[in-house]
Amino acid sequence: MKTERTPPAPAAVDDDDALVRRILAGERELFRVLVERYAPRLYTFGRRMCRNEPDAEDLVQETLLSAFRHLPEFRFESKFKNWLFRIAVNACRKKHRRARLAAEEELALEDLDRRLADEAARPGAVPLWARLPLERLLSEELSAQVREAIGSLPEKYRVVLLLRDIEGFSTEETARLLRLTPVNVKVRLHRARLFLRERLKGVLEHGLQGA
Amino acid sequence: MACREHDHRRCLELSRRISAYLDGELDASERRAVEEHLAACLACACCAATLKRTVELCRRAAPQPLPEPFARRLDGLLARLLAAPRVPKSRPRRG
Ligand SMILES: [Zn+2]
Repeated sequence: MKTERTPPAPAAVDDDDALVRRILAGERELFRVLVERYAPRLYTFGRRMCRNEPDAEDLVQETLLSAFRHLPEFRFESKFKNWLFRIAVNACRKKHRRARLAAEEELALEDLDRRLADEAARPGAVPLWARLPLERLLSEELSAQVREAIGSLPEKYRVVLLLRDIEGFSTEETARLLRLTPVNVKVRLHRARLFLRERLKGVLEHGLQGA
Repeated sequence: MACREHDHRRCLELSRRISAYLDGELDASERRAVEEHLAACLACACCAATLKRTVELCRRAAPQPLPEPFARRLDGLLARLLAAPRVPKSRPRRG
């Protein structure tokens, strides 16, 4: 990196498509900019999908290698980021195929519904953790608990939550990425959020009692 | 309390649309129906508020930085990749 002759000017290659076009036209060094831009996000995604460090590292490496090799096949029909995450999701599925044969876990809708019905029967005030300004709630410890709660979601719900709520893909983009219908994405996302809410409720209602 | 006189089936029905409501994915008439219900039903208002907060917390859960040794390995890999004469897969045969 130290001896690089032409460090890419970030302002000039802010946009992924422009960057990809230049890489394909021969400025291969610019692939580094894509790596710098996406490796951390892929790693965060990988850590939450794979639940362990070595698998997450493999995932990042495989995704980036595959993206580099297949870059000439990128058709600019979707955003580069979507294309890249599609590669990551596929790599992840390949990795987990064996594990998933064990059991495709489900989130029981009846359980979630029963909880909601309980709540409706005994309505209370909005709890402190949902009323406080967000900034007052955030802490390293809470972040770790949120990550852990996300990690405990069954994979097919987790991947939807990560793509929608963390990576910020739209419902339609997520549906295309995962080859699901938009309705399916919405249903999974909603269940994932309800499940997380239950987990966080437990953590936060205890943690905030003294606050 | 606020919910005494109302039908809980309506709450369950509504609860399935709270995520879509929070994401701004409902059409105007559906949105109005949800808002009217939320204004009248403490349980659903509470559900919506806690769900909204859950999503905010997810969004703000800190990203995990690349471990330093991995970042170095990745850098090495990249250097090798970029130093290779061509993308291996599409390398034309000599001759
Ligand atoms: Zn209600």
